[in-house]
Parts: sequence; structure tokens; C-alpha cells
Amino acid sequence: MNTGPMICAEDLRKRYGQRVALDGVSFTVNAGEIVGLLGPNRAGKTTTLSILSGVIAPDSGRASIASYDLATAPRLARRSLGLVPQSLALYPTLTALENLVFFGRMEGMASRDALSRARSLLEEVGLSDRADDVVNEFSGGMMRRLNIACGMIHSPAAIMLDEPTVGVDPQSRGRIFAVVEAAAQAGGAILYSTHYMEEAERLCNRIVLIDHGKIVAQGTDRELIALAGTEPRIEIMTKKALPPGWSNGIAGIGELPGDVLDGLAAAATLRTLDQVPDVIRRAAEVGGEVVEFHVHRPNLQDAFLKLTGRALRDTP
Amino acid sequence: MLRAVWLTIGKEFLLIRRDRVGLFMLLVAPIAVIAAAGFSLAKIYGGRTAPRGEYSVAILDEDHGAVARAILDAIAHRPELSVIHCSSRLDAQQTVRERKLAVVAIVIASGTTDAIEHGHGAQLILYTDPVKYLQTQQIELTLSELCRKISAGAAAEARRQAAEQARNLTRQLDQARESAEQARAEAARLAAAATESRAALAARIRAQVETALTNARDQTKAALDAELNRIQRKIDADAAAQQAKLDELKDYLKRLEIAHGQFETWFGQLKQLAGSHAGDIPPPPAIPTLPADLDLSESGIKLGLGADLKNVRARLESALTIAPSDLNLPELPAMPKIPPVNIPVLPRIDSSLSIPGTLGYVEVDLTGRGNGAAAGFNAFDLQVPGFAVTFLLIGMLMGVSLALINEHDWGTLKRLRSASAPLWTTLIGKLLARFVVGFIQMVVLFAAGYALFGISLGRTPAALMMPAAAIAFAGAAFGLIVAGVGRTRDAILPVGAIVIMTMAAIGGCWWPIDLEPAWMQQLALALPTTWAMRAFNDLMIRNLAASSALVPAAVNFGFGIIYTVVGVAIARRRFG
Repeated sequence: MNTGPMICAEDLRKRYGQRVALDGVSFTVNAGEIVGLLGPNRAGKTTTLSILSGVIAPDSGRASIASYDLATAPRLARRSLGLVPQSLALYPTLTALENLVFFGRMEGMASRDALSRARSLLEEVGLSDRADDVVNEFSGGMMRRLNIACGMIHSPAAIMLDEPTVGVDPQSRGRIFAVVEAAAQAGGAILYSTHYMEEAERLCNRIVLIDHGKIVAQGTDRELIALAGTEPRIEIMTKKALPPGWSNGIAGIGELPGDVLDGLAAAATLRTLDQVPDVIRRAAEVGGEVVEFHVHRPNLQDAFLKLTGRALRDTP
Repeated sequence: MLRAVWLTIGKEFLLIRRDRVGLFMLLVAPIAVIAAAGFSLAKIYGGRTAPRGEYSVAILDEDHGAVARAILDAIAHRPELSVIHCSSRLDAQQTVRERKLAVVAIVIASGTTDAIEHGHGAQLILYTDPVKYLQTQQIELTLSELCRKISAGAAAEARRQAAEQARNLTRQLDQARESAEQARAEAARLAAAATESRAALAARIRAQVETALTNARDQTKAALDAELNRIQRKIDADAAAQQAKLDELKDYLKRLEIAHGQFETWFGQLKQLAGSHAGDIPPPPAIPTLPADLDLSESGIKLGLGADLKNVRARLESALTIAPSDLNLPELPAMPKIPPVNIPVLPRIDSSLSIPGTLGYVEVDLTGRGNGAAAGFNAFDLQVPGFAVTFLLIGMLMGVSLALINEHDWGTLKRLRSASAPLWTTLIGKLLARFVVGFIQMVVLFAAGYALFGISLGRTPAALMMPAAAIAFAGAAFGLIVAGVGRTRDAILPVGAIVIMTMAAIGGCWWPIDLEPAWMQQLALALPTTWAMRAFNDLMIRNLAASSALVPAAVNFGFGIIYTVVGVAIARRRFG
């Protein structure tokens, strides 16, 4: 039995022309673990998953699945892998059952096993009553669920999901989370790519923050937040713009560039939450005429912002 | 309002400029199809796009005469025809049917020239291929024109020779007429001279004769007068003597007559007197008869002049006989000398000069089913396989390539690539599935063609499966290449359309490939459609044996293998 990491990326590098897609990415995912690959669009998440699933080869570095090197033992590595690509990967004119059975058979399953496993998975993702309907009659959420089921049809040791909840309704998202958690509990190593901070916080045991093809940080959500600092933050909306240095005089206040809405918003870090009344009062004193304010506890978004200088949903 | 219109126009142009596929379809695609169709059909319409030597004609010269030379020379001067010389009729037939190097084979049979020269008709033998119906028609037109020209040329030569002979004859006849006129004038002159001589001679003869006659008459008259006088005198003497005797006799008769009368009177009286005894009266005595020597007839009167008259006659004859020497006839004048008449030698008409015969041709269909290419063939024998192959290509190229693009677009290809089975298994599986579909499509289309249009299935209908399977395989495999080259659905549609139309057009799916110029036919050898149509045409129209489809089918399977290797390599780079 393999006791090492089920998914292993070692110094993966990949370029597309002049653009560096991956620049020395390394991490591992162990059995029964859900690791979130978190980063904004074009951070390198999909490239990483493509290399780890054997779809593309890295320029350098090593990728292995269940200790099988994708470069030297690709068939064994792929047999241990289940991929749920970001875009749907279904035959729209086949039924849900036909899709599942086909992909199971392509992974080497016997016909009977594939059929049995397909029915079981359809039950798990809540599509057993639509098993014999063609896929192009499904809603987007149903397709997403079936898409995940197809990636798990052969019960792989490692499962990679590339932003599986994009455009999914809350009900389907809940189903997807349940399926992923069940797979992890069954011993699967899950690499979960997303740019939804909340999903990573909710699902993942560990999170790998990636930006511009580099690992920015990795660890549990608490570790990452701590790494980025724990100061709470206040955002103030005013009728008139606050002048620079408006918070001078309040000890421990750090003005942040923050989001700007018509030049009438300002943000600042606080030493403690007790400083909130002083900050509101100060803003009013400098003529800001406060409309509303938000007090924000630190999270992964803050950690990412702290570590990269840009928001998770920013575009480069 | 107007500004909005202008802005919309500008935006549309911007979109069009950035729509490279659309621009490609707008400009390059029609140009490619126009070029393929234009070059392919150039031969039909003649014109400058039809290059030299487009039709190869096999020729077997068994005649080796003037007609054969004329045909070869005429064909050599036709820029659209090139000649392949054959060694035998079998060689000529194979050049057309098996090797397909020539549209038709022309056999100039032995004795053709001789027949034409001697005024008999002669016919060229034309081996034809029904698949090359239109080209055969064109060549037959050319050949008809050639035969007409050769026949007309021979007739013109004969006319020229006849005219030359007529001119010579006329000239010599004119000379003869002139000589005859001279002779006639000379004869007239001679006749006049002869008439004159004859008149003079006649006058002299008449004078001499008259002189002689006068002399003779005078001499005769004198002799006659003398003799007649002598005879007169003798006759007078004899007449006097005879008259005396006659007078004596007359007197006696007169007396006798009186005595007789008297006796009668007396006897009558006697009887009266005798009354009833008259019967007893004895007859009177007999009347005396004339003396025996008394003959009172004239002939009986001998005058005694016979001997004298004989003498008179003799003397008359003597007197009237003119001695020949006495007739001094003049000598006839010498005949005028006839001058020499220059009678020319009349020309002989050349016995070898005759109206030449006409040259034609008879067509021999090498399939053994019809009366030659001119009889044509069922158009569906060409159209059914042609369009079956076209639509097969549509199904194969579009099917395989769009199916791969679909897999890519649906994301299933990515999932399959991450599966344990390698990508090429997916590609080969897809290809083989399309191959089976394409093969069934061909079988169904041929069955429909047979049922609906009565197409020929050749000697061995099962043999059609060979090229059908081969082109289905090659087409499906080519779809892999198209899928790899055309990176998107929008790219594949125009690329696929152009590839299909070009392959079908140049490969002879829409018209017989022999209509195309030679360079295009050479180019077409690189296309699987060419080999497929060759096999179908051989089996269905040329009625060849099943073995004729082996090579084309093998070539297309070879194409299929090459396409598969290349297509998988491209697809792996594209999708792998």
C-alpha cells in the first residue's frame, strides 16, 4: 500500500512563449486530504492541474500520482487519477448513465462494475432519477454534478477538481461539497482548485496560495491568515472624500488604499476593535460625513491581499 | 441617424476584417473552387486555358501509306493531341483500356491508302473508352474533320490531275482542230482544182467523142446509104418478081372462088330439084386444093433477102465500129499533191486517274457492351460513385474532424487524455467507427443507385467493396489531418469544404478525370478520390475484372495508413 503523498508536484515549471505559467510549483496532497489550490484567474491553477493529470507535460519538474511518475509511468499514474476539468467534459447527446459507463470503461473497469458504480455515483450526486436522460437536457448544476461523478467513476486514489462550482446553484454546490468530502473520507487525495475563498475555507484541510505561477504560501487557513497578519479592518463610506492623513492622532491606525467608490470610501487597519468609535468620530471630524462602515475580521482574502498586493478576483 | 449608420458600417468592416475565416471563405475558397473547376473543364470548352497535348491518341499504322502519313502529319499539327505509337492492335487496346494512357486508339488498317487511291472507301478503326465519352466526341470531331480533309485533299488532287489532263487535252484538241482546218482548206483547194481539171478533161473528152461519133456517124451513114441503096434495088427486083407470082395466084384464087360459088349454086338447085331424093344425091366432088408449093402467108413468101441482110448487118457493124485507136482520149491531168497535214497525237487519258474513295472510321467499344464511346453510358454509373465518394468525404472529413473538435469543445477529450488509455486509441477508435459508417454509407448509396437508377455493378458487384472500403478508410484518416490542421470548428468548415470540393473535383467525382489537363491529372494521382473513381469506373463502366480494382484499392489503403500516421501525429500535437 502506498503511504506517500498521492499527489506530488516538485518544482514544476511551464512557459507558454514568453509568459511564465508555472515557476517552481511544489506541493503534495496526501490520502484522505483535501488541498485547495487557491488563486486568482490565470494564477496557474489550471496549468498545475493539467500537468498533474498528464494532459500537458511540464518544461521541468516532476509530477507523480500515487507515487507513479507521470513522465515514466503515465498509464499507472493516470489510472490512479480522476480529473474533473473546469469546463464540462460530458457527451451532451448521451445519457448520464451512458457517460458514466463510458468513462468507467475507458478507465479499464468491467462493464458490470462500471454500471454498478455509475448508479451509485448518480445516487450520490442526486441524479439517479435522471440517469437515462440525455445530458443536454440537464441544468448547469446537474451537468456539474455529473461532471464530478464522471471524474470519480473509477474510484481513483487522487482526484483533481478544477473550479467545479463555477456557475453552480447553491443546491448543487452543497451536493458537490458532499461528494468531495465523501471521497476524501473514503481515502481519496483531493486537489481542489478554486478562486472562491469560502469554498477553500469550508472544504480544504490545507490551502496552497498561488499567484503568477508561484506558490505564495501554503498551510491551513488559520496558518495563512496568521501569516498575513490578524489586524481587523474598517471600511468607511462618506459623502465627502477623506483627506490623506485623516486618521492621524489615533494610535495604531494604518490607512489602506482600499476599494474606492467615487472617491468616497476609505479603509484602515485597527489595533483592536475598541478603536472603531474613535475612527468613526475622526472621519466625521475631518468632514467626511460617514454614510456607513464595515468592520472586517481577517480571512484568506486578506491574507492573499497581504501576500500578493492584489485581490483574489483581480485580473492581472 | 446617418452617423449611426456610418458607425455600424465601420464596425461591420472591422468585424469582417478580423473574421479571417469569413474572409477566407469569401475570397480564397471560391478562388480555389473556381480554379479547380476551371482547369478541370477547360478541355470541354477549348479556349486558351486548354494547354497543348491534352489528349493522347494511340496510333497503330498498319498502312504505311500516304493516308497514314497524312493522318500522322495532321495529328502532329493539332496542338491538343499527342501521339502514342502502338505496335499491335492488342497494344492499342491496352493503351486505351488497361493503361488509360490514351483517350482513343486509331488503327490505320493495311491497304487504306490503296483503297482510297482506287476510289474505294476505307475506314479507320477507333478503339474507345466509354468513360472518356466527351473526349472521344471531341476527338471524333477532330477525326471526322481529318477524314474529311484527307478525302477532300485526295479529291482535290484528283481534280487537279483531271484538270491538268483536261487542259492538255484541250490544247491538243485545239492543235488537232487547227490541223483539221488546214487539211479541210487544202482539201477544198484540191477539190476545186480537181473540179477544174475534170471539167477541162470532160470538155476534151466530149470534143474527142463528138468528133469520133461524127466520123463514125458519117461513115456509118455512108455505108448504110450504100448498102440500103443496094438492098433497095435488090428488094425492088425481088418484089417485082414476087408481085408477078402473087398476081397469078390472086387470079387463080379469084377464079377458084367463082367456081366455088357456082358449084354451090348449082348444088343447091340440084337439091331442090331432087326434092325428096335430095338425100340420094351423092356428094359433090371435092374442090381442088392449092398446089402444095403455094404458101400465100407472108412467112411463106420467101423474098430471098436473108443472106443479104446478114451481110448488111455485118457491114453495118463494121461500119459503126470505131477502132479504139481512133479514140484519142486526152491524158488525165496529174492529181494535185496533198500537202502534209499535221495531225497531233491525241493524248491518252491516264487510266490510273480515278475519283478517290472517302475515308471514314468505325468505332469499337472495348468494353464489349456497346457500340463505342459515341453510344455513351448510363450517367449514373459516373454520378453515383462520384457523389457517393463526395458525400463519403463530407461524412468522413467533417465527421472525424468535427467529432474531434466536438470532443475538444465538450471537454471530453481532456478527460480522455487524462485517462489511462493513450490518446491514439481514442483517435483510432473514432477513425474506425467513421470508417464503418462510411463503408455502410457507400454500400447503401450503391444499392440505391442500382435500385433507382439502374447503375451497372460490373462483372463482380462484390468487387466494388474494395474501393469503397479503401476510400472510406482514406477519407476517415484524412479527417484526422483536417482536425489537426483546422484548429476550430470555424476553421474546419471552410478548410474541409475546400479540401472536399477540390479532392472531388480534381479526382474525377463530378466529371471524368480525363477532361482535366495532363498536369492536373498528374496532380490528381496524389488524391484518394482519383484512385477510387478509377476503380469504380473500371468495374462499372469499363466492365473490367475485379482484379482491376486491386491496385487502386491498395493505393487508397496506403493513403489511409499514411494519413493515419500523419493525422495521429498532428492530432497528438494539437490535442495531446
